[in-house]
Amino acid sequence: MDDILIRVEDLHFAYRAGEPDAVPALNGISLTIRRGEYVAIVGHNGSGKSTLARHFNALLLPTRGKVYVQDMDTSDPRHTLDIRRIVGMVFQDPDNQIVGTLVEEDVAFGPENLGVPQPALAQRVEKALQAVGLWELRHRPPHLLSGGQRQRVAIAGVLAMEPACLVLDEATSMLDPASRAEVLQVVRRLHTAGTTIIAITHFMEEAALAERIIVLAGGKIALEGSPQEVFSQRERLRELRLVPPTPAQLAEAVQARSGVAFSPLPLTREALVEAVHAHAVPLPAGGRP
Amino acid sequence: MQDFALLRHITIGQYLPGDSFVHRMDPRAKITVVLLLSLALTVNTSYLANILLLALCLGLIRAAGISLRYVLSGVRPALPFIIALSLMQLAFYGNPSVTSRLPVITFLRWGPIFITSSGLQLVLVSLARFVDLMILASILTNTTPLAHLAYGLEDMLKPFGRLGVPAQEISLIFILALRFVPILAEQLETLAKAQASRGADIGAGGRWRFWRTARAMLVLIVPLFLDAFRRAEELIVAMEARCYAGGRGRTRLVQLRMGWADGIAILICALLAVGFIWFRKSFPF
Repeated sequence: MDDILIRVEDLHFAYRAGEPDAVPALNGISLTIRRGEYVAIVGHNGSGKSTLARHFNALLLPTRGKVYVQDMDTSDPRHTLDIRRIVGMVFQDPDNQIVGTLVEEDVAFGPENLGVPQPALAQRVEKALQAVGLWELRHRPPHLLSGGQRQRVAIAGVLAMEPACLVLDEATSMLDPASRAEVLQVVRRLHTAGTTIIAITHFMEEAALAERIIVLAGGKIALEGSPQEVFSQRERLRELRLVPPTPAQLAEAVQARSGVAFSPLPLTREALVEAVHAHAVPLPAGGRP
Repeated sequence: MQDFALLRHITIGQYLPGDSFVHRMDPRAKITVVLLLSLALTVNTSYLANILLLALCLGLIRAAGISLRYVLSGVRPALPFIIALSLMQLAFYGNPSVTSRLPVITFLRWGPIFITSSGLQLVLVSLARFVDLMILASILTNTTPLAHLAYGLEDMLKPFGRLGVPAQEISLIFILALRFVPILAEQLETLAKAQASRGADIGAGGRWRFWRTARAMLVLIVPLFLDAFRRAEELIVAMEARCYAGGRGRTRLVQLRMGWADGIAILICALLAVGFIWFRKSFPF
């Protein structure tokens, strides 16, 4: 059982719990995240996805039910710092999570809080900045970096704490497409290197990159499975007001028009290109058809 | 649209990279030197002492490789206030309030207006002091990255930790404030443009029309504060997520090193400051 990193048992949470104007946000969620997994949590606004994410590192504590990180109960204050070191979190707005006035000083903030002494501290900073490809920019002030670079600084700041798991709480939603691709590339590389990734997102293209998708609606798990399983349930997705990734939509449109079935459903650009290529008629010799 | 660049005029606090001796000094040494010289400034009221101190400050500015013009350009926004204050001092502070060996000459006495040579000296000395302090503050902030200044302050306050001075926290607050200056400045510009596009009269007041300028600023300040509070909330959550739990037990990436040159600089300035303070009543004029 020790490959389970996070265990959530019948989690209920309400903002202003116990008061007459309490707002229930999570209504009985149970799930497990295994070590090394890449999980996407999706759902439209107000579905409770960010609230759930904040239970993974004890930023919020359950009103009812339990959350365990490596078998440590998040509601036990003695474990809070250990849990936050193990489960690092990157937030939406890079500006509001960068603390230092220079890139390297910001990356050092986490390990400084953990009391890591020199020279291990400097080594951690270097390793984290190398991992996100920003070592050359370590002496820059963060406000002179692009959005994507700033978000990579934020990721490096979390990596410097050497976490087992990275939670991305809509970490790409304020970025332009090029910056988003930049950040996702770093995330994929970290996952390949063994880091557990939990991506909270409302971009379905991004969710399709994960190994498992958890769809939340009304504070409950509405749908769960591999991207293939989730995105092939068209009716259910429509009820949940979620739109599959563009390649899947295109494939379905072609399917409806021509009767050619795509199996499996292509979810990424590359998969769609491959699927279309398989059906394409080769060009006649001489070039033009 | 140039009026939107609101932080352009502020020269104190802008780090100007360079490689002068002053740049390379330890921030703690620089803070000590500036404190010592400021102390000497505030107790000397004679013309001669102030001329000497002004010359000293000008010398320091040369040593730091900063242009005097740049430093003084920072005074421009405050100019109306300085002039108003000086005029009031000149008009109403006729009674000898500065220690001077010069005889007091009365220039004008009419109702409440009372202008004497002593009042004039007060005005001139105040102006010189103001310039001196501007120069000292600029030398400190223009030659030191502000974060290092905060670290210097932190190290200097650390011995007072036992008395309950939260050195780590003070330095962190300072650094966070610095971190958010460019962000809030950008936000302010966005707000100013948004309000201007809806017909607000921003930047139209001009330097001498305080009331209009102040009123125009109000539509910017209120949303700016709301934005700052929202950012602060998010920042707190992000800091907690990165294991921040107060200053206790924290380590630091940046370590400061004091060299022998820093020691000599402190020693010279300490001697000068003691001399100016000790002999403050002995200057001939």
